[in-house]
Amino acid sequence: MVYTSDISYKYPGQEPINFQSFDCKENSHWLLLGQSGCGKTTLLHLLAGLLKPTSGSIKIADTDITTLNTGKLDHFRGQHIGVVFQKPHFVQSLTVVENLRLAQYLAGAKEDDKRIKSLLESLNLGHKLKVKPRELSQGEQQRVAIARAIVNQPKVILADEPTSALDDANALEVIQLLESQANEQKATLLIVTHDQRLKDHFPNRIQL
Amino acid sequence: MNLLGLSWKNIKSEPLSTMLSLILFALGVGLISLLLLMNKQIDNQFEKNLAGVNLVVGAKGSPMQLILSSIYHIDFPTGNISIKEANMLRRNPLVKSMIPLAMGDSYKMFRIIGSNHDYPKLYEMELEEGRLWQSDFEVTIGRRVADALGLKVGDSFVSAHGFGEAIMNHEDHPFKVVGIFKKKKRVLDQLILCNIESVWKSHDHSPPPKSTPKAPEKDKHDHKDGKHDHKGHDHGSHEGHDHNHEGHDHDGHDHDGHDHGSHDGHDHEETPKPANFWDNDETKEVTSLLVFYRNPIAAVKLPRFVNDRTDMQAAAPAFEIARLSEMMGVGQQALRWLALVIIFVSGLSVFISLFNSLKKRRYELAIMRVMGGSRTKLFLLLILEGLIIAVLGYLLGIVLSHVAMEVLARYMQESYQYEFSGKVFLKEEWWLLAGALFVGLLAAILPAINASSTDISKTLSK
Repeated sequence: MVYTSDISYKYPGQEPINFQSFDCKENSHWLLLGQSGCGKTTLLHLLAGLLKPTSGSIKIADTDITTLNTGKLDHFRGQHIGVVFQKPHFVQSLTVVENLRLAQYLAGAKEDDKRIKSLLESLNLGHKLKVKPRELSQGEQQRVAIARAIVNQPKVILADEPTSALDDANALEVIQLLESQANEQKATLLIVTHDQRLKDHFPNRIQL
Repeated sequence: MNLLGLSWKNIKSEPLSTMLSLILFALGVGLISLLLLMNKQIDNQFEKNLAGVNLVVGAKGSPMQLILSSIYHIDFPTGNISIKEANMLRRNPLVKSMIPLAMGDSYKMFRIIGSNHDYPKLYEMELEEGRLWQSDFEVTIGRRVADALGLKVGDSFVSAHGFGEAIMNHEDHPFKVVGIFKKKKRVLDQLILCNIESVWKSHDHSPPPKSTPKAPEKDKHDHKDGKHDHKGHDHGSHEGHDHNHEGHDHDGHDHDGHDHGSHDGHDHEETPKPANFWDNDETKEVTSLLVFYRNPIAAVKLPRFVNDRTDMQAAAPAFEIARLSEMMGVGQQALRWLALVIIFVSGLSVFISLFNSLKKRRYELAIMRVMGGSRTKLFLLLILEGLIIAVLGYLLGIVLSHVAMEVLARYMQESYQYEFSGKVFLKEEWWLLAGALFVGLLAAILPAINASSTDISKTLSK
C-alpha cells in the first residue's frame, strides 16, 4: 500500500537526507521512529506528496506519486491520504461540522452530513458539532483533526507526532482512536513520532 | 460547502476590517453614483427644456439670468421689453418665429406665465383635462401645480405679485382654471399659463402707461424683493376698474348668461383686442421672446443685431447652459476626484485586510491544500473575498446614493421647482459595478497569488 524505494531529499544548501526503503501492507500499522532532526517530518511530507523527493520513488495504492503534477497530486492526496499533524489547524471561520464538510468538498467527495455526524459521535464529539475549533480543548481538537483526516475514508493515514502535545490520558485516547479508525477502514497507518509512550502499541517499527 | 460560502464565512469572521472596507467602498461608489444621478437629471432638465429655442431676447442685464428666467423659470426676469421693440425683431427676415412671454406674477410660488398657444405646443404638452385658455384670466396649469395646490378645473385663485411669498395680491382679478396638462416632466409642469393680456390686466389696472418702460435694473430689483413698484402703476384707475368689473358681472347675467360671450364683449368695451397680438399698443410690454432662427446665418447675425442695435439683449441658451455647466463642472470635478481617491483607499483597505488575514490564515490555507484543495481554489478563494466586499460595498453605495438623491430631491424641488428623483437608475451604474469589481479584483490579486503559492511543507513544519 505504501512503498518507497531509495528516496532522498535535499534541502537547499544542506546535505541530502537518504531514507531507507520500506513496504507497508494494507491495513498494517507502523511507527516511524527517530531522533529529532533526522528527517522524520520530511519523510512524512514526502509520503503525503507535500514535498517531491530529489530521487527515488513513492508508490501509494499502486500510484507513483512522484510522477504526478501539482494539481493531480492535490486531488490524489485529498482522496487517498489523510494526514494528522502535531498541532491541529482548522479553518477558523468554520465550525467543526463545516471543517469536515470542507474536507469532503476539497477532496471532491460528496458532502455527506450523516457520515460526518456518525463519525464525530463515534469520537465523542457529537455535542460539539456547531462549535468553532478554537473553543475546543487540545485533546478535542486533535480528535476533530483525526475525524477530518479519515472523513473521506482514505487508504493511508499519516500522522506527524499526533500525541506529543497531549497528556498521557489524551495521548492514549488519540492513539486508540487512530488504530481503531484505521482498522475499521482497513487503512494503512503510519505514525511519525519520538514519543516513547506509543512504542508498546505498535509491533511494526521503522527506525530512521 | 463551496468556495463562495467559505469566502463569505471568512469575510464575516473579520467583521471590523470588513466593515471598514465596506464603508469606504460604499462612500466612494455612493459619491460617484450621486454625482452621476444629479448630473444626469440636471442635464436632462436643461436639455429637455431647451426645446429647440435658438435665442432668448429680453431686457438688458445678465444673459444667464435671462435664460434661467425665460426658459427654466428659475431666476428672476431681467425686466421687460416693449411690443414696439419686439415687432422690430419680428419683422427681421432672420427670425422664423417667436413666442412672447409675460411674467411677473405667481400663485403660491408657482409662476404665472402669459403667452400664446405656441408655448405649450413647443413643449408638446397634452391636455389631461379641460382645454387651453381662451379668454382673459383663464389658465391652463401643469400637473405639478395641480397636484401641489390641489387645483381642479373650475377652481379660481388670486395671483400674487412677484415670485416670492405673497405680499400683495391682485384680488380684483381671480384666475380660473380651465385645463390641466398631462405630466411631461418638463418645465411647463410647474407653470400656470394664460394669455398675455391677463398678465397686463392683473398688473396695470389702467390703459397702458404713458411713461417710458421701466429701467431693467429697477424692475429686477423690485421682483427680487417681491415688492410692488408703485410708481409704475396708475392707482387712480383702481376704482374705475372695479366699476367695470361689476358692470361685467351684470352684463353677463342680464344678457344670456353665457359668460364667455359677454366677457369678450366686455373686453371690447374696455380696450379693443386686436386680432393679431402684435398689433397691440406698442408701448405694452412683454418680458422676453423665445426666438427661432430661419437659417444658420441668423445664429451669427441676429444676436449681434439685437445686442448692438436695440435696447434689448439676446442670449443663446445653448451657450449659456454650456457656460453654466462649465462653472458647476469645477466643483464636480473636485468631488469626482475625491470619490476616486476614496475608492482607491477602499481598494487599499481590502488589500491590506486580505494580506493581514493571510498571515493569520497561512496554516489553514496549507491545510486546505493537504485536504486536496488545488492552488487555483486557494487563488479563487481570495479573489472571491475581494469581489464579495466590492459587490457588497457597491450595493451599499448605490442604496446610499439613491436614498441621498431622494432626500436631496425634496430640497432641490423646493428651490428649483424641478422634479428630481432617487428612483432613477442609470446605465452608468452598471459601469460603476464593473469598476468596483475591477478594484476588488485588483486589491485581491496579490494576496491571492500569495495564497496560492504557499509552500505547504514549510508552513506546516514550523
